[in-house]
Amino acid sequence: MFLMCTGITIAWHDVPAKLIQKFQLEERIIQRSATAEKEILFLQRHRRPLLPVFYEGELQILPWGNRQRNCNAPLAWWCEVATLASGAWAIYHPEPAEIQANFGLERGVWFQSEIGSLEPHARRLFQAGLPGVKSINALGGMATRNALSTARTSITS
Amino acid sequence: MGTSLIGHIDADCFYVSCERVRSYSLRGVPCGVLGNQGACVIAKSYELKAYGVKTGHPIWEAKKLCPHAVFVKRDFRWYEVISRKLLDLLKTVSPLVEYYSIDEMFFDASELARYFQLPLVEATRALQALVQEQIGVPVSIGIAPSRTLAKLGSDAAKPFGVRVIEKQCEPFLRSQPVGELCGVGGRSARKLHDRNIHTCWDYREADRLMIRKLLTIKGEALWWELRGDAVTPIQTSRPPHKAIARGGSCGGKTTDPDRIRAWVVRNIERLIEALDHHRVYAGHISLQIDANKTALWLGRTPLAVPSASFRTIYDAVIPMLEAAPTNHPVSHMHIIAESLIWRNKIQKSLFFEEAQSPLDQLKRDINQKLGRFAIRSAETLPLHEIYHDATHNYDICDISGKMCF
Repeated sequence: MFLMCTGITIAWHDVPAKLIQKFQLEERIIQRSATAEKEILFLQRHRRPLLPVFYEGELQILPWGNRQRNCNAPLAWWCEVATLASGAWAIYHPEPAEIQANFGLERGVWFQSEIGSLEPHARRLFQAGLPGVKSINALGGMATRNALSTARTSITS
Repeated sequence: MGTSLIGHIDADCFYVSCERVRSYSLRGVPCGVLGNQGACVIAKSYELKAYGVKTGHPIWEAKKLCPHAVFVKRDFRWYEVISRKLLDLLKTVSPLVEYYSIDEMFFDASELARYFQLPLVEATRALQALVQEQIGVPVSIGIAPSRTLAKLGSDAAKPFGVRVIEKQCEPFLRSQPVGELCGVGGRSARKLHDRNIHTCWDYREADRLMIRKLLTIKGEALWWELRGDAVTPIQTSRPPHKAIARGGSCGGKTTDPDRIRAWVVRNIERLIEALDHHRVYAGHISLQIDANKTALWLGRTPLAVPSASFRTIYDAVIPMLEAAPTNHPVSHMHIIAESLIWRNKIQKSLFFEEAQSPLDQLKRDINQKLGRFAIRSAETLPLHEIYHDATHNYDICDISGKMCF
């Protein structure tokens, strides 16, 4: 079965205050219990879907997916790693980057990185796009056991 | 060896606590650990418990009760690492430690106060703090003159508490329902209720011979233990197994003969590993197949000579499988090795093949070197998703040395 990650969270203290302010991320802050640390929610169904991506040496908040038909990138949220490996995305000059995340959401279940069901994620790409400038395809391979999952990202210009 | 004080240390929501040791972001988060191919909650944090999620709940029910809970998949290798660290730490403060289960240990607490140079209650708290600091796992501790009282104490102290119980502990025993006693299940509790025994104090004050008649010698042992007389000593090593079984869920109900056979072969390979580990051969092999958790089929085959050979056990199990009814979807199965014989006590035979063939030994050597299931039977190929997920390669029964499951 092909599964799709529809959201992630990142620890609130991992996002610089200037980014929280710039992208109005305060409204996305959640806390799962009184003693849990605050997290920032990034859902695919948000009116303005975003992803926290570590790229060019710093954390950036980038649009997630491409909804604009006039952009030269495909209309998609993600793509399979196999298609990346096959070179189908080569025209967008993919580059590695990282999506930073504590937890992922899939079929309504929040999961932590490096659990068995994560394997399907490693085979697909999250796609973040900067319309008209460049689009970013991030491989959702949340493969570390650490709180911060790493994911490789690729960029097209 | 008798001890004047027995301690019982019990880790609080152990699997979740282990996950929190390696993942800071899970702290304070309602968290469930999933087993059975990711279908059921096998452990939960206190935060998740507050939403009404119970052990055994399927994930689709658990997520309804707590939509923002985080679920992780079990990792018994990691839990064993933490469990053995706890065991090693306990051995530094106590001369006698019993590895009761993955998250529970009994220990001789008679020297605890001297070790920490503190009164007993403070010394117990010091031990709790030491475990928290060095292992990172919260524990509850009960100290009492007997195992049963110590376990009652640690259970009552949860979460993250300590309780020291003396022989005269009437108010405490009056507060504990008799069903809380380890060894008193639902049926025994009903028998006791029929005789107006509702609390542990009622049990202690009941007629000893009546208890023995009702609950056999094990019930009488509990009666003595509740009076503070330790009749069950701390056991530092596990007694030899009478039987070894491997099996469990088939990852959902199935009628597919290839998948059922694949599960059988997987469980045979796991069983042979266990026989190798315990250095025993099996004299009898049983196959139990369950449909909807109800025993559907049970076959038992004596082996011509005690064996731990894949070919011999396979040849014994497959005819039992073929004789089993096929019209019910199989949910669980177990393969059980009985009449176990130590490998160095076996009579050599001129007429039968060796208890383990060179091929078995080669397979074991390669798997020990390259990793579990690096070489496995091709009949397990239909379970590619099980072998692909490393969390299935190590189960709680693979953690050896524990007194109970």
